[in-house]
Amino acid sequence: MRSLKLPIVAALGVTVAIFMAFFYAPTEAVQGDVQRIFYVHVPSAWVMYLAFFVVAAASVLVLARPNEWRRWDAIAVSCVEVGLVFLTIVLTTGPIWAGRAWGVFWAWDVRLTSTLVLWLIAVGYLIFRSQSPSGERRARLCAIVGIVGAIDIPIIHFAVEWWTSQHPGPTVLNPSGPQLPGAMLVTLFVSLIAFTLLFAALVAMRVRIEQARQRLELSPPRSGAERELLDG
Amino acid sequence: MADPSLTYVGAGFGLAWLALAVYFVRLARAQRDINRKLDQQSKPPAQD
Repeated sequence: MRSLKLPIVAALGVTVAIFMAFFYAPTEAVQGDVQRIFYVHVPSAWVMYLAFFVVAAASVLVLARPNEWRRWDAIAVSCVEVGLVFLTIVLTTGPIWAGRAWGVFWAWDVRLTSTLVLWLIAVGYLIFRSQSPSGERRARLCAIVGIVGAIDIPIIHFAVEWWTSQHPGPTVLNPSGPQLPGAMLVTLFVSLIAFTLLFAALVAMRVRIEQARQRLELSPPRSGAERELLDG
Repeated sequence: MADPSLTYVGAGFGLAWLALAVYFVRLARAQRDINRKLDQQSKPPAQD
């Protein structure tokens, strides 16, 4: 029951965030209702940053603390997987919003392309992991891929400042202060908190699964039937 | 007639929540399966 507390709080937070996105936040004057995608797109991008920051930290610890590699490897793979879900949401909601606001669904500019590169790195990480025998060597190789993926995060974030981009610049972390009306800013912050809680709940679930897998691997099965169960 | 923007908003929100719901169900199933395997393994071997 204790393990359900965080998912329930996260689900409540998300429900409040959706309600606010449709009934509290005002309609944007130029773009109209399509701008409401902002309340899913930006929090998902924030969670994607957070996930790959944790991946980088856990991956460094896999390499730096060989005695504790199992613990950090479980956290790293969990964050890559959950981060990939939010990354997919960013890459889905962004083009849908752009299709209406820009008139094109995709532009090969640096922010969009570097986000797609991170998605490919995350997919590659999970494919490599599923195809390699488990153990410390796999954890160390995955850690290197995780660190390479995380290097893409500052490129994604600063792309709109370093290069000319179709994607708009920061509206909240703007050097001259947030460029949003109060009600939009409040809705965004509620969505950010709700998505962060959702991320924490999903990662906690995924880490528990990974730790259970590690326990199974550490205690070899006693019979052929059990071995079949493990493989399945 | 409804604002066509709402179709885009519906698609954006709908796909996002669908992805999260599918992933949550997948995790819940994986957790159930792994718990079952752990239970099987913790049972004492059958006596002949």
